[in-house]
Amino acid sequence: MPNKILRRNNVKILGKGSRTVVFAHGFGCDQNMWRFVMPAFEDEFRIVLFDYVGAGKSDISAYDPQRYASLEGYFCDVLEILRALDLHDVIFVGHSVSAMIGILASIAEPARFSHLVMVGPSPCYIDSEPDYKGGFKRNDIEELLDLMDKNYLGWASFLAPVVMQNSETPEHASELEASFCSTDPVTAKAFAKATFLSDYRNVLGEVSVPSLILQCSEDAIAPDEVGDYMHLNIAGSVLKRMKATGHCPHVSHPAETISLIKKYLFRAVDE
Amino acid sequence: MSDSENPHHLGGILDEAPCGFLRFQDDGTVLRSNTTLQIMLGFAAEEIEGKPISTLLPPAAQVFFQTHLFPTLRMHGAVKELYLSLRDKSGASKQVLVNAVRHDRDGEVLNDCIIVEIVERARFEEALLQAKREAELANELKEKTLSELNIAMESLARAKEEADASSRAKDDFLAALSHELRTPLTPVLLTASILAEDKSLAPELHQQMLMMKRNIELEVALIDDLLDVNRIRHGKLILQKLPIDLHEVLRQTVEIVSSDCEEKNISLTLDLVATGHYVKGDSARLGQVIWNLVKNAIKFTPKDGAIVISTENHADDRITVSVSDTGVGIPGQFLSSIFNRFEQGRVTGQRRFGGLGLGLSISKAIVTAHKGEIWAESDGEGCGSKFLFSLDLIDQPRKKSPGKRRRSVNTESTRILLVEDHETTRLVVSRKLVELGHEVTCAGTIKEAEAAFEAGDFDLLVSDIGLPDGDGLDLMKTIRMSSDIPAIALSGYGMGDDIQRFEEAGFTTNLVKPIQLDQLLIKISEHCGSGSAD
Repeated sequence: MPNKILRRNNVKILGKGSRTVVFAHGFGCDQNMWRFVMPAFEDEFRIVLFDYVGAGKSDISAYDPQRYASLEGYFCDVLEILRALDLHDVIFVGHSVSAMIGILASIAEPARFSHLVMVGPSPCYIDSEPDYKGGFKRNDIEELLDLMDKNYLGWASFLAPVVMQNSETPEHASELEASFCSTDPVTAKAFAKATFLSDYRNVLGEVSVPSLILQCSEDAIAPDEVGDYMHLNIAGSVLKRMKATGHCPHVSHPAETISLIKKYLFRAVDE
Repeated sequence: MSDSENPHHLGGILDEAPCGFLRFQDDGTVLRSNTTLQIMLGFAAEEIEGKPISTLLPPAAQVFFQTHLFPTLRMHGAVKELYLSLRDKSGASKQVLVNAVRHDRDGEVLNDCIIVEIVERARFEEALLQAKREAELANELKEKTLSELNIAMESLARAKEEADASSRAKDDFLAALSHELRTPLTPVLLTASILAEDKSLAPELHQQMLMMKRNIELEVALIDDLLDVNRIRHGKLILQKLPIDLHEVLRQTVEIVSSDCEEKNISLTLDLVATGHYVKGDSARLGQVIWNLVKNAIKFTPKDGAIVISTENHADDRITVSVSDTGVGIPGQFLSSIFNRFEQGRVTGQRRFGGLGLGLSISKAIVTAHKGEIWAESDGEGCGSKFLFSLDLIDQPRKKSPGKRRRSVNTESTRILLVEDHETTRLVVSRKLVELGHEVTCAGTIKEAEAAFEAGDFDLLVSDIGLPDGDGLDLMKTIRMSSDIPAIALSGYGMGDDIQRFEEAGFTTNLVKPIQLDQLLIKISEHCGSGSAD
C-alpha cells in the first residue's frame, strides 16, 4: 500500500537531515517547479517532492473525478504520502493552491506538521461581498478555463516535451525530463476548477501550526490584500512581503525565496 | 536615450514585421514592443514599455501567464504556440498565439515573444470547442442516464426478487393451508357418502347424511375457488389441453348436479344440437366452468323453475354453450361487472344466496385462457338469465373418446399399500376398501411405508403427499427405483403444476382431498382392475 501511494504521486526523497521539508507544487506544473529552490535545502533537510495526481509523472490511472473534484482529494493524498513515509513534524512548503492543501491537511492531522510555508497563498480567488478582494471575478475563472481548453487543443505544440535548444546550457538539457510540466488536460481543468472556484476562508481560524506567508509584489493571482487577509486570520502566522514580482518567486526569484524560508525556519528551530 | 542608444532598440524590419514583438524581464517589466503590437493593441510605446506585462493581460491570461507561460519559459527556455488573450487599450480581449524564447544577452536575461493575432482561427477553434463541450455534455448526460437506468434496473431486479420470494412464500402457505383444510374433510365426506347410500338408514337420517355430504362438498368448492382466484391472479392457472368432446363434459357435469335440481324440482334440459363439439381444452377446467354456471342457475332459480343447457354452432369454427334459467335475472347495470371477483350481480342490498361470488370470475379466467369468450344476457330482474361461452372447434379426433367408456368400480381384490398420516382418514378409507374386498396395509409415515413395501407384495400404492417425516414425492421416487407399481397421490394441494410434480415423481394419477369414495374406486379400477366388473 505505501509503495502504491508513493508511485501514485511520483514521490522523490532527497537530501539529508533529521527534519523533513515537503515541497508541494501549485497549479500548472509539477515538482520540477522547485528545482531552483530545493538544492539549497538538501544538505540540512530531508526533501520530499511529489506530483499531484494528473501532474508530472503521477499515475494518471489513479485519477478519480469525484475524489479530485475539490481540494479534499488532494489533501488526503498529502496525508497518505506522510503516513506512507511515517512522517511527523514536517515543514510543508506549498506554492499557491498547495498552501491551502497544506492548511487543510494540517487541520486534519496537526501532528504531522511542524511549520507551514505558504508561497503566494489564497483561500479564495474570487471577490466576495461585502469586502473580500480575491482578485478575480467568476467570469475571469470561466475565461481561464476557456483559455486552458484552447491551449489543450494545441497541446502537443505547447507543453509537450521539447528538446532544449540552447546547447550552451547542457545541464538544463540533461535535467529536463520528458514529462516536464506535462499535465493531463482533463485533470488540469478539474484541478483549475477545484483551485480557483474554492473558498476555504472559513477554515483559516482552525490552523494550529506555525506558518510563514510569502507575499510577492504585483502578484495578480494572490494580491497583497489576500496575503493580509491570510495573515489576519491565521493565528501564529508570519507575513513576509517579497521583492519578487509575479506569482512564482521560487522560479523567478529563487534566492530571495530560499533566504526567507531559511531565515524563518532557523529562527523557528532556534526558538 | 535615443533609439540607437537603447540596447533593446529594434531594427526597422522587426519593428514593422507582420507580427507583434514583446521583450520582458523575469520580473515582468516590458522592455520593448514593436509598432505592429502597438497598433494591434492601440497603445503608444510609452504606455507599454517600462510597465509590468500584467498591463496587457486580462485576469485569466495573467493566471495562465504565471502558471504556465512563465514557469515553462523559465525552465524550458522556450514556449511555442501558446494561446493567450491580450488586453487592448479599450479593455477588449485579443486572441493571440505566442512563441517565446528566453536568452541571456550580455548577462541580462531577456524573454522575447512573437505575437500573432488570430481571428479566423479563433473563431474556428471556438466552434470546435463548442462542439467538443456539447459532445462532452451529451456524453455526461448519456452516462448519467445510463447510470440512473442501471440503478433503476438493479432496484427493479431486487424488488422482483423480493416479490418472487414473497409470492413463493405465499404459494407455499396456500398449498399447506389447502392441504390442512382438505385433509380433515376426507373421512367426514367418505362416511357421509357411505351412509347416504345405506338403504337401511331411516329416511330422516338419510336426508341428514345427504345434507352433510352437500355441505362438505360446498366447503371444498369454496376452498377450490379461493385457491383458483389466487392462481389466476398470479398467472399460475396451468391448463392441460387435450382434444375433448364438450358434449361429454356437459353430460358428466349435468349428471353431478341433477340431484340438486331434483331437490328444488327444477327441470333440467339438455339441448345439445351443435354438430361440431370437439375443442382443445382442459376437460376438468371446462367442467368447472359448466358446473359453476349450472350451480349458479340452480342457486338463483326458484323452485319449479327450469334450466336449459344447449349448444349451437353459430359459425363453422365455433361452439357456443348456453345455460339459461327462469331465475331472478340480472339488472342491466350488472351485466358487465358480473364476471368481476366478489360480485353477485343478481343481488341487490342483501346476500340472499350465499357464496363468495368467485365462480364467474374463475369461469371467465378459464374461458379466456382457452381463447374463448364468456358473457351473460338477461332482460332484467325476474326475467331469468342466460350465461354463454364460446370456444374454437377442432376436428373430431379419429380415436373414440376415452370419455365414452363407462367407468366402473372394480370388485376384484387388490393389494393396496395405503400411506396416510391423518389417522381418521386412514381408518375410514381402509375400512371401506376392506369392506369392498381389497387387502389394505396401512402406513402413517414414509419410514413405515418403506418397511411395509419392502416386506409385502402390492398391486397399488395410495399415498398422501404431506407426511410427518418427509414428502410423499420422495417416497414415490424411492419406490420407483425398484418397482413400477401403479400409484395414486392423495393431495390437499391443487392442480396444474402440482400434478406435474406428482407425475415427475412417479405417481400414475392423483386425487385431491377430500377424497370421494367413488372417485377412489374408479381410480383403483382404472389402474388395477379389469374395468368390466359392473
